[in-house]
Amino acid sequence: MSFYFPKNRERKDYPIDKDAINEDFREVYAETQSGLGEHNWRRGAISNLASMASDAGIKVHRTGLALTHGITNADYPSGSDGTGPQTGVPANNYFNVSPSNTWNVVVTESGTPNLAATMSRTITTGNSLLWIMASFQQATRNATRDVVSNAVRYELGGCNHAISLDSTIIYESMDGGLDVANDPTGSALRMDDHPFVVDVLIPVNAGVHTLSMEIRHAYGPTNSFTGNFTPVYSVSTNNFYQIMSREFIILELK
Amino acid sequence: MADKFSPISTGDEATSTKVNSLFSSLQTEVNALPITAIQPGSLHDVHLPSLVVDSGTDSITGTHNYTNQYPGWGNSGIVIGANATGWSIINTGGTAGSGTDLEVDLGADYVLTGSNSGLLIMFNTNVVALDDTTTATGTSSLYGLFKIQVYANGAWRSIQRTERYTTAEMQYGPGISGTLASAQASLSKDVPIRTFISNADLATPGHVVRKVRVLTCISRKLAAAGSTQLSLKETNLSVMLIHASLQESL
Repeated sequence: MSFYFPKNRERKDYPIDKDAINEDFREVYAETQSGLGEHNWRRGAISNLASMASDAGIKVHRTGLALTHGITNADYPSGSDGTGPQTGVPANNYFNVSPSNTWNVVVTESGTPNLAATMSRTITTGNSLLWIMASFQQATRNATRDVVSNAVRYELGGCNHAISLDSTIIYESMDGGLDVANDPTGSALRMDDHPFVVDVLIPVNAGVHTLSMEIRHAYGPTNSFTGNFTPVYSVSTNNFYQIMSREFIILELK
Repeated sequence: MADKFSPISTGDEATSTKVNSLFSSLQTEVNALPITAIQPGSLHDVHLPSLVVDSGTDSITGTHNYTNQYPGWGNSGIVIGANATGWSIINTGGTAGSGTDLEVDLGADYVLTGSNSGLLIMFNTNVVALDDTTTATGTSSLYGLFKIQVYANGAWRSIQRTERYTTAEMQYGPGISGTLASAQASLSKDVPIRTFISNADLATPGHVVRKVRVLTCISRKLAAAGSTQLSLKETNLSVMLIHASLQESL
């Protein structure tokens, strides 16, 4: 390797050896073909960002959209006491959390499926470190798309949220917990109308990867009002959680 | 072995012209290195400049309270003072705006094109109370709202998809029997927002960006005007302008 160049030094008053010259250059040529490591670059070799292509160090992928939540001026919507639908809640692009304890990718519940509403991207990466962030608004809804009444809201056990890599949940990214045995409020962060962020840093091998934000109803109390803590998800099809405005950001750190 | 490598052949003279030719072709080779010639991870912080073009953080410690009322979706009107309709800028002095705004000023104007892919913004605040201060009876029909603004071409622009809200809660559960309407719960909730602001988020592509701040207010029901208050404590805002390529679906 060319830690010292040239390998064969020509000296004063010595005859020139062209084989030695050839060997000096051949070795450097060979080195430029593959396997250049950190020792081949001097400290501060690239001092100006203008010398770096935009995708040389970081690639950013993201989806996102805004969805009106129905809150009106200085007063929660007319239907918030259960008397009618909210004003201005979106007809499309929201996501209803499935009434089950299985994980589901946040996609488009109603309307034309589109990337902006899908918290999932399939990307081709190098051997990189991925920083994946999901930021979203969670809401409660009933059958008339109204906010869920207090009596029912407290029976909802909350949701778990997590990042998945190639359809496998990364449990280190999940909020809440997995053990409900000692947790009287269930395994979720049981917050109803609340914004959440989950994120994770994870290395991946070169290839095609699908990154997603997934959500599930958590195990929790069937009815916390009566103190009956049955470890099953607590949800009726008429009362559910909904994902509204959201953003999904992936930073590929090369 | 490089295609261009032409050694000094047997019988040829080792002249300076020959050696210079070897150096020239070697220079060409180095300047046209294929990406596969470089081992992954070879270039790192020792060799490269920071990929964060610019950054800033700001934070507020201690309690700051807000009483202004939500002006509606898509409305970014700001009011200074208490119990009015409009947003408040998060400020060390709360609704009165008498202190210092929570704001990151990058100190220079940036166009979010080319390798200046955009601003990664991270905001967190600790909601410690959201209640009707005139009654001991709790209500969950109070909402604290937040959204992020960027300063682009001399005007503040709301990023609507960052509008978030959290609800008040009542103490309720085992050991608290009787009616639902018990005392207001102490919240201690973390409200987080993450967003990536690109050229597509601006009113006109090519506008320069410089600053970021966060707004907040309350939506109320069943509570009288002037009786509701949102109390925040530790609040943090971080902004990074990243040298990167961007693929987005908005």
